[in-house]
Amino acid sequence: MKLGFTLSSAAHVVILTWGLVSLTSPEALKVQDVEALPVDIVPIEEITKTVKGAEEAEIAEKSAPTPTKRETPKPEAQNVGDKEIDSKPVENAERESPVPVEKAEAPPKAEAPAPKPEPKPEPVKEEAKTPVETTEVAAAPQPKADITPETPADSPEQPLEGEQFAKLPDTVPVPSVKPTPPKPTVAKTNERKKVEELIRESGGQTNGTEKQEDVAVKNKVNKAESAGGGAKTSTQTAALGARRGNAEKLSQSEMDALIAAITQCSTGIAGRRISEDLRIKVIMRLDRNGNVIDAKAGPTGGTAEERARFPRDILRYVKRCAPYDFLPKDKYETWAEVVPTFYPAQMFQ
Amino acid sequence: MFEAALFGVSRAYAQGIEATELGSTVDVSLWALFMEASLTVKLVMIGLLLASIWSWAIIVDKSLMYGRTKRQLDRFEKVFWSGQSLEELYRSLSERSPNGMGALFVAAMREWKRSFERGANSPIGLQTRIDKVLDVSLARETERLEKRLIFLATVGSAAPFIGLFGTVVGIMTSFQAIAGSKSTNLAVVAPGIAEALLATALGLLAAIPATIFYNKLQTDVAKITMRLEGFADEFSAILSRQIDERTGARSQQRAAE
Repeated sequence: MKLGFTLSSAAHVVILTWGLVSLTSPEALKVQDVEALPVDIVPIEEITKTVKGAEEAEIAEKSAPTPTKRETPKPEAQNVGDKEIDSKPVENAERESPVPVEKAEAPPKAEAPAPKPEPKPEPVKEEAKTPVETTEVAAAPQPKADITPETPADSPEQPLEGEQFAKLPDTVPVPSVKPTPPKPTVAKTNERKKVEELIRESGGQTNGTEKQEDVAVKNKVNKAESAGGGAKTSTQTAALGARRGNAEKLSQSEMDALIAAITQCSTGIAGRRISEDLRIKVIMRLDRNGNVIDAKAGPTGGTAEERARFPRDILRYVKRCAPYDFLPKDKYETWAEVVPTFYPAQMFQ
Repeated sequence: MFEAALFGVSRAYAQGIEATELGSTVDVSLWALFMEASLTVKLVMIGLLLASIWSWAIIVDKSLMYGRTKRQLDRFEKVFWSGQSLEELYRSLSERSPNGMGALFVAAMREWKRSFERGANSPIGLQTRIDKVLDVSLARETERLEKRLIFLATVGSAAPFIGLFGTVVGIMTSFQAIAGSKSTNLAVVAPGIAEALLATALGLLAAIPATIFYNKLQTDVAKITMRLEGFADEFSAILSRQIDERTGARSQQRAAE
């Protein structure tokens, strides 16, 4: 037994010391080179976005706007067009501007094209004082650009997009009237305030946000045609698509949140059966802080009594719940006017 | 401005890498793992180590012993069946206390001689006595052979559980530490788990050779016991024939008188 014990102990000691010496810390795993797989959370609205393309072209597998003519691409540009300066197309712009482009030669103020309540260009003044060098949208205002649309300044140099280009006179129009220098006195703060009020009142329908306001202003500054256009080169064949890509929209979850908030404010109705098919569409107009400016309700389905009663109730709840300050401020134009649909049968039971 | 942002991002990324590298340079050698472990886990590990040492001691001891025993049996059988007279063999063997077959032989022969020296004449009583003596010494031999073998069986079956116990306790404490530090980073969890798993490793290290050698030594013991039993039966038969012959001779003598 002694022999076995000594042999065994000796062997264990030898193995353990060998283990302690040789089985030291294994090399730390180097994990730096592994590329992390980026995971994006994609809101549902992104799927429903319209794709940029040409509205009058044939359907193709991939939407593409009308090809541009410029050879050298502008890498920073985001909007397709032949313009020197990149800017988004105006949303409500008509196909062809009501005033011919030659109007650059026509100085009279009275003929100034104002087809919609676009904000006056005054706010640009401030931006114009601090010119930025990049060619992005925000950089559009150039200090030398004339503010009033009547001035003929640099529009002739800017080629127009698409087929219209060919129809235009090749000759550079000569201004018949000496361009008047910009009046700095226009940029009064109270006037600016007025513009903002105008914007707010007009809601999301036209030029609700600063973004659109800027674009509209820059279009005037650039002397572009009222349809706007970008400076990005596009060589693809024109294919069907919306005039404006990346349309913003209230996402499904935000709409659900709005409906849920209003439902929370409702006081239940005890013991009454409500017709399943009763549906109440509410047209709400909201201001920037989420307060209700006005709201209308239109019922469909249900009995006559229900049609008379529930819209009233729901409008009351809508007003009681305000302000809806959880709606994202930077997407105001998407919820300036929202049309949620309520199903009282589900709401009150 | 954009460049500044990019630079900021890359610097933050670099800092993150540095931080993870610093975190991973914890000492994870065997000794460090052992020293990091809690008291319970340490005790379990030390116990398992001692069990391993002791079971290896038994394995060495028993292997040597069985080899020796087998050689003795071979030698004894050779001598026994060589036609040498039993009296002489007894005389040469009884001086040193022998093992195995020798022990059986000596015990049976002693009983035989005593019975005849004292003049006990009942052949049936003598036969049962010799059988009893053979049985007893056989049991004693088997007991001597199997001694401490049961320790191997115990280690083989219990050591993994003991190691597992150490692991569970270690992981438990390490998870408690995680709950305390509120960090689920793998770098925080890993050393504790590695240290706990060391206990299981030791348990298996002790159990695997113990189980294997227990089975081997057990069959060795069974073989040796079979041979001893066979020898005991044979020797008992030889002695019983001798008794018959002697009693037969005596009765013939009496009949002749």
